[in-house]
Amino acid sequence: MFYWKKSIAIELFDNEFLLANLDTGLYYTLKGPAVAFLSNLPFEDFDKELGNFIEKNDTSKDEKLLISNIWLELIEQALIADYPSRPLNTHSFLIDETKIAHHSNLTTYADMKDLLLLDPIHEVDTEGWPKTNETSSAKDGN
Amino acid sequence: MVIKEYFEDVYNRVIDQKDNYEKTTVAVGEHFADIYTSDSALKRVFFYSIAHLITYNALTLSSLTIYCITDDILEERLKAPTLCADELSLNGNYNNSDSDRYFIFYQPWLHQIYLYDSLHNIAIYWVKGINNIPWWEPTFSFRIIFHWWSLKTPYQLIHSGAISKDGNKTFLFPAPSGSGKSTTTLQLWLSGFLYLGDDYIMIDVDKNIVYQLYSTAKVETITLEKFLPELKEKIINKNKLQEQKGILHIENLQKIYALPISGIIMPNISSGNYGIFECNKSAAQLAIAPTTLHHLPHNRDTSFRKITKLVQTNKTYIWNLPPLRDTLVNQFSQFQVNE
Repeated sequence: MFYWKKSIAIELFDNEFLLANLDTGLYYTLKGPAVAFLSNLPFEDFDKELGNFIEKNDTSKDEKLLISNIWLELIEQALIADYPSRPLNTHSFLIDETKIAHHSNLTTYADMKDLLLLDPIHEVDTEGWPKTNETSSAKDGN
Repeated sequence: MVIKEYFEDVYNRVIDQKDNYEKTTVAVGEHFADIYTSDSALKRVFFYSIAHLITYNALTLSSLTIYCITDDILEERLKAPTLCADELSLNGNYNNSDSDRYFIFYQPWLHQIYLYDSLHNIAIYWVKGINNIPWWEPTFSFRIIFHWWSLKTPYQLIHSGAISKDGNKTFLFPAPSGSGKSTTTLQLWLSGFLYLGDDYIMIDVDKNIVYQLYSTAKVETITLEKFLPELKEKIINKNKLQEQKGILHIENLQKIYALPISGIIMPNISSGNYGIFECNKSAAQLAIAPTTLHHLPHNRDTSFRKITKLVQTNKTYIWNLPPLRDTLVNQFSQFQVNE
């Protein structure tokens, strides 16, 4: 059963998804028919679900390819996971399909990722305090 | 390491010296915080940005207690916490899986620690000595503690500026560093608008209200020379601009404890198409959440939900900033009239 990973923050703004991996600092926006399709999560069979969606919405082959590629990217980025059982809590979104963008698009925002993932640990002195790292101290201050 | 044990050890040592502290009460939104400082020099440093919040007639009991101390007051020097490197991120977030009650903010290259007991709302800020205080820390005094304390409330610290014309039209200016947030806020302040903050402000997401918090602003030297030349002489750290941003104290700050929010405007450095335009709410969320959550790392999911509520409640705009101040002020004034 595929569903949004629990650690992912997901919000719907103006018929667009904003996804945030709060651990890595990676943010994503998702637009277009993929929003309507992914609002059906959780589901078990991606191919079957996409087939039904395409048929129901009379979606083009190009759009089908876009959604498939986005799906693979979401799996790769660990935003969606495949678990053996149905999750206890699932998201529910009210989407106005008349107002979604024509084409599916996933955009990644990685501004904060580097800062969040850098290794902060340095050697420590005899009292347990890390030795001063001159380069690190300049990283804050906003 | 069990943070509970570390907190209790530090707290007991801090409390042993309680008779030697000076107590000051400040207003934080509609609440009050008692701040105990271990020496007058430390108090001067940390109250520079929050002096306007000091109150002598708190209407209710304080809901937060902060001990702000140096090693000088302790009988024995404080030892560093032994934290698991795997669970500590660069920005001081420690995933203290052993407790939801205790928090620690510790950046291993700095000799300072923030600790918090969320059950009793007791916080400790320890720094080795006055000379070990990072230059930026007193520009937003106790922000980590205010963040922890606010987790159980509708309050949320936001990395944003805020400006109001007359108290009725108040707008937030969120943006990452380098996007024109401080420049815009300070130019509008110099043009007669009310200043609520340029870096961190406190929001009540249930009431959609912004609270003034800090009276300091931080600006890059190049920004000062290009856009705010009249403030150059007022920079308080003139001799350290090679390694620090310029720090300004907003003089004669009008005490504005709470104003209703009218909208969210994202400043955008632009080469044309100047003006303020309505934009998608996801752009506002992307302007607020990453930078705020990077600086305030604990309980990001809670803060993310509060930020979402703020964004969903308000109209959102992007402002392609014009290069001239007169044009900037005129655009904002006209925008306020029309909104």
